[in-house]
Amino acid sequence: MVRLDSSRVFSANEQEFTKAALEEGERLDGRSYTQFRRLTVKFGRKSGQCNIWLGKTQVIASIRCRVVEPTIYRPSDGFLEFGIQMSPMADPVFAAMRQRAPELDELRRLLERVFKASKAVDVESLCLVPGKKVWSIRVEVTVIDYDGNVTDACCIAALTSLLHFRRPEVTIRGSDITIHSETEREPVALNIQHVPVVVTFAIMPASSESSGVLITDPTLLESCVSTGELSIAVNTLAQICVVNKVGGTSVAPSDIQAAVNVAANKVDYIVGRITECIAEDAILRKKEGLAKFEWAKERQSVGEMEKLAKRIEAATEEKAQTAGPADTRTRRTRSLSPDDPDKATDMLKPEKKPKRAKVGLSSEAKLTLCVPDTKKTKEHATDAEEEVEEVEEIEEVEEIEEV
Amino acid sequence: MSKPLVIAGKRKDGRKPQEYRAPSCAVGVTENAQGSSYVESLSTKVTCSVYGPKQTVDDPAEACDVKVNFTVATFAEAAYKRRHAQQPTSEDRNKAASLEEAFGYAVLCEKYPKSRIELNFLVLQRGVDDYAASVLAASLALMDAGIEMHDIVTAATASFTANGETLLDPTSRETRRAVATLTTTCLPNLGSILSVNQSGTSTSETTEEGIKLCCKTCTALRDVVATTLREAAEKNG
Repeated sequence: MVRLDSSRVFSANEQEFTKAALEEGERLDGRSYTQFRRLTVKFGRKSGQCNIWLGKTQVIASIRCRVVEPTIYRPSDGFLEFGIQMSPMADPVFAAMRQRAPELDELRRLLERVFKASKAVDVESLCLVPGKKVWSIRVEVTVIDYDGNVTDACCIAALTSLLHFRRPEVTIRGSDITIHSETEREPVALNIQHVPVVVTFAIMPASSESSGVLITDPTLLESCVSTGELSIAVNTLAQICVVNKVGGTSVAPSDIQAAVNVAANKVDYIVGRITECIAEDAILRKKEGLAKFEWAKERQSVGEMEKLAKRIEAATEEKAQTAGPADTRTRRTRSLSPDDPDKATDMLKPEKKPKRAKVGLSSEAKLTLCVPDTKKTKEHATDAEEEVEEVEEIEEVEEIEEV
Repeated sequence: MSKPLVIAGKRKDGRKPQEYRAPSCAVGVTENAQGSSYVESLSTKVTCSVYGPKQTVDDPAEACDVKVNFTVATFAEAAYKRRHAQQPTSEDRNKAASLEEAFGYAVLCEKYPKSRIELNFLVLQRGVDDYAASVLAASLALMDAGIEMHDIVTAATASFTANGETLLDPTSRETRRAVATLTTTCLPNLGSILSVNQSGTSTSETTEEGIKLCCKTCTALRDVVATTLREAAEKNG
């Protein structure tokens, strides 16, 4: 375990106190040895973007995918890459961290083992046209706030990201592929065979008072005081994917067995939280999608034609009623019913063709919308003599208003 | 489908599933170094030389620093596996970091304040168990240099097949076809585990069994190390 540098300095007092408390079975935040801090998951706008809080440690993950050529040595394998960044937001010390720093390497290797080597994401399923085109998926993990246990937080972030991500749908014809955009076809989820979760234990050294202790999800202070780290990745099928203990204090084999059991118990809680949050997000996205769809429909006047046709129909019906017996002169006055076979030709005539429906701009619509009194409409349409009456009416209206 | 890895209780090279081939070791292979060793295991040949304890002028610390240089020779493996001949891959950097951590703990660093111990590895032929062989080589070299440690550090590798067998000291073919591979580094006399590394999926019972098996092998390897050192000491008089 290459210890991550931190600019936070803990006083000797704090460290002694933490050690002493742990020997008595107490952790500073009141958790038990095997309890995790609160896990919060939030999603971004694009699929695959997520924010993870594990206590105060915050990690952001995002995924991008593109189609590339495979290597000649593995023509039917896609690529799954992980990139880790420690943002200086988390700790100013990270600003000086090189890309090739051993801490980042170790974390990256762990992620690769957890997801690639354990076949959680089968890279063969990312193949489109063997030898020519494969998906290359890159998971970018950025640590934004550091309060210990970056390992677990990064792995949870990567996992949530992979579960949430939707890649574009693709049609393959021979060796030509067409990548469909989001609006053409619904994007599909990645092929995830099993769901691994990493549980990291801090190893507290044995002392005169107590034997060594393993605690899960250490905070920064606890990991400063610990002398080793053990990470175990277990999936929901209770299979162990990764066991990683590098350096630090040695442990007895029975401790490792105990740790494996604890990790297996934790997996359900963590995966449960993640799936809950993904489900909530799916509902929100669906609502948003529907709202967008409705807006697009309005914008492109889908349904406006029917509305306008109905308005025209209503207006001509009223006209027909007031006009008396049916006029046999032209086809124009025939009411426009949807089942009328001539309706189609009627609609195609330039005069009948409804204008692009901007709300309130089409003349007939204006008549019915802007003028509240339909009686007045008819009077407008007929004699000009009645203008005098109109004026009187208007005055009447005004009188009423004054009262 | 290809043949199973274990047929009638025997692997392809005639070993039983839980039979390991003890590596052949030698110490004192380099003149200049304080301590050096050469380990030849099933598929790996690695040499290690120790320089130190050397005085550190710029960064005096209470305990000594263990630094590892892990180089893989350009001829160590097939061409298609190498990416850049000069640049170490991230896996190699990882192995170097693990070795640093492991020996940083195993060596009694408090006995060598204000100094640094350098471990230089050169892998001449890379196999699946290059990490385990390097650990052995480092142990031998450090003992040859007379540097005090908590215990002899030894490592063993095991693979789990899809049929549920555990193969000790696997070949590269067996690792490729295996479901998971486990490497354990132990302090055999103290009976504790320094590092554990598993890649691939297995049930927890399989992992526990694998760890136990590796610990047993590490204890056996301790005897190999001890014998090598004793013979070397007797030869030198």
